[in-house]
Amino acid sequence: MDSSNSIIDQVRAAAASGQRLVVRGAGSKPWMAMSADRGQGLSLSSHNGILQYDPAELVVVVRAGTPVMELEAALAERGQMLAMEVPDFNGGSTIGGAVALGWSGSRSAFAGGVRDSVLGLRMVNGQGDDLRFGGQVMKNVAGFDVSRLMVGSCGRLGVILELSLKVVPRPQQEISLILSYPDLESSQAAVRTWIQQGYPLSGASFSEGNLRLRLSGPGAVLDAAAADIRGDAEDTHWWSALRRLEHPLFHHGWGDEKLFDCNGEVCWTAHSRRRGDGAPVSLASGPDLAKAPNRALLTRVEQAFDPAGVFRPAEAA
Amino acid sequence: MTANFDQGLDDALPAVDRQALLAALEDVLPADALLTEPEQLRPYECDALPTVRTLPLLTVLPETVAEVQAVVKTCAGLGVPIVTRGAGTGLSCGATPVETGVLLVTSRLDAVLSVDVEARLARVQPGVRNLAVSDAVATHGLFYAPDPSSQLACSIGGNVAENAGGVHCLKYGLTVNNVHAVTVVTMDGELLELSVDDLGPDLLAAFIGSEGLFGIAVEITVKLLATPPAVETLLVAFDRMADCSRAVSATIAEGIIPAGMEMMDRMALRAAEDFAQAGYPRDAAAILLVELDGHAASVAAEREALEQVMRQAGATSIRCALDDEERALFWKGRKSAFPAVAKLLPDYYCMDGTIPRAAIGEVLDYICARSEVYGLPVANVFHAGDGNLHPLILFDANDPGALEKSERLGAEILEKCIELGGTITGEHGVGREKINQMAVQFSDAELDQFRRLKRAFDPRGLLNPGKTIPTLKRCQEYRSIVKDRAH
Repeated sequence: MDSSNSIIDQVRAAAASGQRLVVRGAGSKPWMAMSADRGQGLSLSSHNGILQYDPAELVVVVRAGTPVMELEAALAERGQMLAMEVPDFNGGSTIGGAVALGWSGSRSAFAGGVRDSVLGLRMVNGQGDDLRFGGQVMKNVAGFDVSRLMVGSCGRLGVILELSLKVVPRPQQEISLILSYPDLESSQAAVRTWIQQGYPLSGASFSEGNLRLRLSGPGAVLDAAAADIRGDAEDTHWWSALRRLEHPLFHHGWGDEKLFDCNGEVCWTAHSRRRGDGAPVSLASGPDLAKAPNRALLTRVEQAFDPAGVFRPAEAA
Repeated sequence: MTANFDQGLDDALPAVDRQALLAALEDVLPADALLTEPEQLRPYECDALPTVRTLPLLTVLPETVAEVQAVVKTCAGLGVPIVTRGAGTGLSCGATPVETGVLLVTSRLDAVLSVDVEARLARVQPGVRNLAVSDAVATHGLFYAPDPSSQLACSIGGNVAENAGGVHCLKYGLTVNNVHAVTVVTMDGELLELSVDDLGPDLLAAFIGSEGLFGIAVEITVKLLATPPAVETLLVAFDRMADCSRAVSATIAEGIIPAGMEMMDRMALRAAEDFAQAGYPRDAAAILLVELDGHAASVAAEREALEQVMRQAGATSIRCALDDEERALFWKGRKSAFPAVAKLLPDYYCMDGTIPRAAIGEVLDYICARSEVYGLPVANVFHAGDGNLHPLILFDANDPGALEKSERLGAEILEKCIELGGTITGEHGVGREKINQMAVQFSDAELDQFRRLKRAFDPRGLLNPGKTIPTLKRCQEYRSIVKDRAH
């Protein structure tokens, strides 16, 4: 269903009246959703559906409120998938929410993250302007890259209405292997040698002395890789559980244990997610953009998109 | 209406006291880092699109980040615009100087600072040449993926400014997909660190491709990839252009994503063959150069599938490079296509539109028809895999009106790209060259959003003024011309 006109009207009314809005997808990330003191909720969940999809173009155009699972099912029917892997909280996340959060999943260390998959978007800024940036082609450098700027923006710069996303062929097969390593560093060194061999890795996580690998590709390559790597095969359920944060770790069962994903690039605890050198993000309260680096610049960028502060949280007002 | 600076259509440049500026810069720079005489400034009057030339007020060649900061602070204090230039290989007048501004050249900042083999990252200064990065890490079995045709000469700083692409973007992406972090000198002379790991909106992605309007990149951490163990390069010939276009979409539909997929039409391939003796079949109507890479077993399977797709699409011959030497030769032809075509007529004008792959045939027919109407030959060199077109319009600037005609034909081709759902620039940038077409691709509200984003980085508008984002006035003027043309 197309709710864009109603969404644009709500933003314009809010900008005129000084009302604050909190953009909300399916509400699958409770810590990102609104609370009474932050502003009125602006729901995207009825703004859904695939707008354009030609598999030979390797791109799909989709409304932001479309559930990730629904989108992935439609791509799977044509033998394709999103180039990025995004978390799916409670099985209900919307694609717009996933991009606004910008968390890239296990595949990202090998195939690129959310920022690498966003080719274009339609959005409403804080003035209620209906804007389109980027497009449906892989290479596009006309104007500033607002589409990718929106990745990780957490609803602060405007409302994402539609997204053009890169898609890729589904791998012919996928396998998961488990191996023991004394520590993260030794597991990372091993993974590096397999990357150098050209094995089609699509996941490498380390926790509790276990390195888990996921490989995606043609059967012949996976056979060659498995014979060389010599881990124990297991089903790929572990990766989907990690993606949905349904892993036991997230039920506070592990104390201070850490789970490293993306060959060490991402570190999960029961309470937080941390990427690279970035600050840890609390799973209880979500990204705290007040603590983002380059805060002064970010404030000017927020004002450039939302001069009236429609999407500015009340506490930052 | 040309893209040239026009006092009536573009924002006025600030008046500058040259003597005061010179005195202030002499205090912060060694004598050999400051060029002031017309004969010294002449080599910097244009980038690789030489039809637009402007002498800068002064040129500075800083050797350290501290010198860059000092220059910027000096200019900020006196209200002097700065245009940043890398190697000057840009094709969109992005580094064309402004007459009341300083041209800041990064060529002396040319050190590879460190290579982290384990993290597969390299920290480099902006003046490091693109190919020098891959050369510096090759012994570790690593390479830097973006490979513009100018990679021998172009610098990483310029690549970041333009979000440069290359012939392997289909699989490996553009510069934005291959940069981990950038240290920027902002117009107030301070340092800004932007990283992919930062929380919040992706400021790093917004900086990449900002064409020198947001800040000056002084240190870039690039991502390195493992050199693929197996590579196959196929040279496929067609005796009909339409078959060749269809083969491109058919390949993707088959689920094959080549590392690169380049198309050349007859005029381009013959010129390249004469120039580089690459072994291209001179009688073909078009050729595809397709590269597959990865694990040997997957490359072998893909090659078999690809050959079948090509034969079904009507390929008349398929040759696979027998060794690295022949592969290099195949690519040499492609990478020298621009200079090769330049030998046919004194001047050429290179377009950079991108379209959905399915529209390649339609846009080729359009280019062919318009080329006849204008009486200007066009050679076509495409990054076909990602729909990025480089039609080369040939002309002789000594013929009265020929330059203007080539610009009008170019404008029509770009506007056709927009109509087909594409964009006016896939990898070369807008600069000054495509400033008019921005008014066709974007609405006033979108352009206004660009202007406000620019001011968030550079509130006084001193960095690369007049580039990339047209004024409202220029937009109104140009749109009315386009409308009249349609009637």
